[in-house]
Order: sequence, then structure tokens, then C-alpha cells
Amino acid sequence: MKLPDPEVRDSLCAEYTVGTLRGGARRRFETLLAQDPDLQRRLAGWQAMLPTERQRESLPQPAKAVWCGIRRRLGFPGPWREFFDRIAGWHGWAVTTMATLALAIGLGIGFETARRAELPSTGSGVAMMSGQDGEFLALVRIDSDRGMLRVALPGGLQPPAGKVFEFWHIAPGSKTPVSLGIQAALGGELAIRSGRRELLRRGGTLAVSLEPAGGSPTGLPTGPVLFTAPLTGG
Amino acid sequence: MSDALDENRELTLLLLLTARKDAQAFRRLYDRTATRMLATALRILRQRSLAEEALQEGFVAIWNKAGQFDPVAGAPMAWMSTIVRNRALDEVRRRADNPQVNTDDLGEAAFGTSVSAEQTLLDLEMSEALRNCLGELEGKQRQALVLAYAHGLSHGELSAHLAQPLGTVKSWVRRGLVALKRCIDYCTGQHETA
Repeated sequence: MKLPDPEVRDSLCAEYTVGTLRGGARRRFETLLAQDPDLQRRLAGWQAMLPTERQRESLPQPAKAVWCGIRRRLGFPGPWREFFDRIAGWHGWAVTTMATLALAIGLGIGFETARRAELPSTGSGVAMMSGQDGEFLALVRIDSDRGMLRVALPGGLQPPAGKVFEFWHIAPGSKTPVSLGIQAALGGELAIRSGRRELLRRGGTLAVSLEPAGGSPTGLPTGPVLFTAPLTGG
Repeated sequence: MSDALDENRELTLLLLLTARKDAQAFRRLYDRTATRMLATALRILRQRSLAEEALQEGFVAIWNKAGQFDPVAGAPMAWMSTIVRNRALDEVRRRADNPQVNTDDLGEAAFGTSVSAEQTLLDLEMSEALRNCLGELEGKQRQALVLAYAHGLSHGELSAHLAQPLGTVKSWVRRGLVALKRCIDYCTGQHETA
């Protein structure tokens, strides 16, 4: 069964999203959906548009048992393991802070406090790189300890001939980019110039510009800034 | 407004990490959104225990399906809400289909005094375009849509609650959605040039 009429397609997607498509009609729609990318796109459009709950004080909190149930269902290690896994991770100074806190306060209570103190407020371990229109490009993993950036862009992105990508850090409240290094093709690891590794711990923004081979001759971006990645919470 | 954008970015990031099986990111995602997701389920199921089950099922599904979230399309909160809503609606349908369950109780709970379309609209977060366009619908169409969407009422339940024939409420929902889409496409500049 096909549905050529776009208004019918929209109408079904809408009813499915609202929840009034039921029973046999709903099952038939789901069967069609599985094979039809255009229908999937329309459906996604409807789903993205519809309302969500407003954050407000009066909302009841889910019981702790809900998270425990989720963790159990998905086979996550228990809370103690999560704590040690985090210490072994790449969050640099924030992990040290949490570890110290836990040792100072005592294991059981310290752990709960440490968990709530969780994500580092600067030098976040992962950032999202987007183009100037806000379109998402890649995740950037930041390893402040080892002074590395890792751009998760399988296949990489080639610059125009004779150009390279240069990475910059812009500290919060500053307008002056500081070069971190260059990549001949965007993607994979970048070892940050020594003396500049500490910059990432301070939050701010990563930016990537297009420069002549060898990087900017002036120490500031000379080409267009193509991508940015705010360091969250900085 | 920029708070919403910041949250969108953070949730998108957390979903992307979750897709890579990052349990810490998933926990943070839960911490940031579970309360609102519970509210979504409670509107439909009205009972805490059922709503918490739907929440749990929903988040398990979010973990498993995070790879299907499209970061370019955006709207992480809507994507997750849909998953939790669907779990809640599935439960409502299960109870409606199950002859041993007293569907009158469900009806009572659903039509309690707290189910008000206008109040619900105040408690929901939506784009300016959607809010304006909902405002432009006829009152009956808007009411039917809000009760169906937020409170999970079926056509039959709408008909009973609004004391209208089944055909009438079906038409309100269908026409309401058509009018809504036309209005939103217009507001967001996606209309066909005449």
C-alpha cells in the first residue's frame, strides 16, 4: 500500500505523533514507516515541533528506584565502579578534585557528594563542533592532561589545495584567539603546542579557521573561521 | 531564550555520547531530564507507579536508540519525550484492551479536574510559532488536540469527555492538525509561494 498524497502523509504523521492513530491503522503506518525514509523525515519533523514539559518547581521527582532499575536493566556496574571509572578517565583536574573530596569526607558520603559535583565546570572533556549555521559537524574529545584534541570525524575533511586547518582557543571574556596547532585534514588527533595545553582547562571556545600551508603567518586567524566548539560550562 | 539553546546543546551532546555508550553522559542526561519526562508520563497515565515504569522503559529505550537521534535536526528534548510518551500510550492501550482492567477507573482518572487543556498549555514548553498557531485554532480544535496529545485521550475518550459524536472529534483533531501545520509552515517561512 502506498501513500502518494503528501497531505495524507503529513496527516498520518501528525496523528501518529499526537497519538490518535490507533489499532490497525497505526500498525499499517508503522509498517510503511519502516520502509519509507520520506515518511520518517516527515514524522521526525512533527515530533520535533511538538511541546515538551516546562521545567518548574512543583514537578514530582522520580523515585531513586527508577534509576536503579534502569542501571540494572542495562547492566551498568554499581556506583562504586562508576566512581573509579571516572577517576581513571580523562577529566584531568576535575577528577583530582572529586577524588580529594571523597577521601576528605569519607567513602560512602563522599561518593554521593562527588557524584553530584560531577561534571567539570571548565575544560570539559568533550565539545561539539558546529559550522557557522549551527549545523553539527563532529565531537571533539579534549584531553587536557596529555594536551591532545581528538576530532571524531571519520574520513576527515580535506581543505582546499594549499590550505590547512588551524585550531584556536579563545578564553572566556577574551577576543584574542591563541593558536593550538594545525591539521592538514580535519579529524583525528592534534597534539597541542606545548605551553598552551593549560588553556583548555579554562573553558571558552575552540575555533577552526582555514589558513595557508604552515598556518597563519601573523599569529591570528587570517582565513575564515569555519567551525567553533564552545567548551561547556566554561 | 539562550537558556533553551544552551540546554539543547548540552542535551544533544549528552545524547551523542550516550550513543557511544558513555554511561556517565547517560546518567547526566537522566539527571537533567527525568523529572520532566515523568511529568509527561503522569499526564497520560495519572498513576505514579505506572508513570515511573514508563519512565524506566523509556530511558532504557533511549539508551538503546540514542544512535538514531539526528543531531542536525536538533530537538533532543522532543525526541526523548516522544519515546517516553509512546511507552505511556502503549500502557494506556494495553489497559484499554484488557477486559480485566476496569476501564471506568481509567476514565475517571483521566477526566479529573486537573485535566484542563488551557492549564496544560501553560505548563508546556513550545516554540513561539507553535504557541501562536495553537492560539489561532478554534477553541474546540485546540482543546481536542491538547487533550489527545498531552493527556493521551483516544478519539473515543475525547468523544465521551467533550460529549460530542465520534465523527466530530475525529474531524476536530484532523482539521486542527492541518490548520496547525499550515500556520506553522507559514510562520517558519516554509509555505509554497502562491
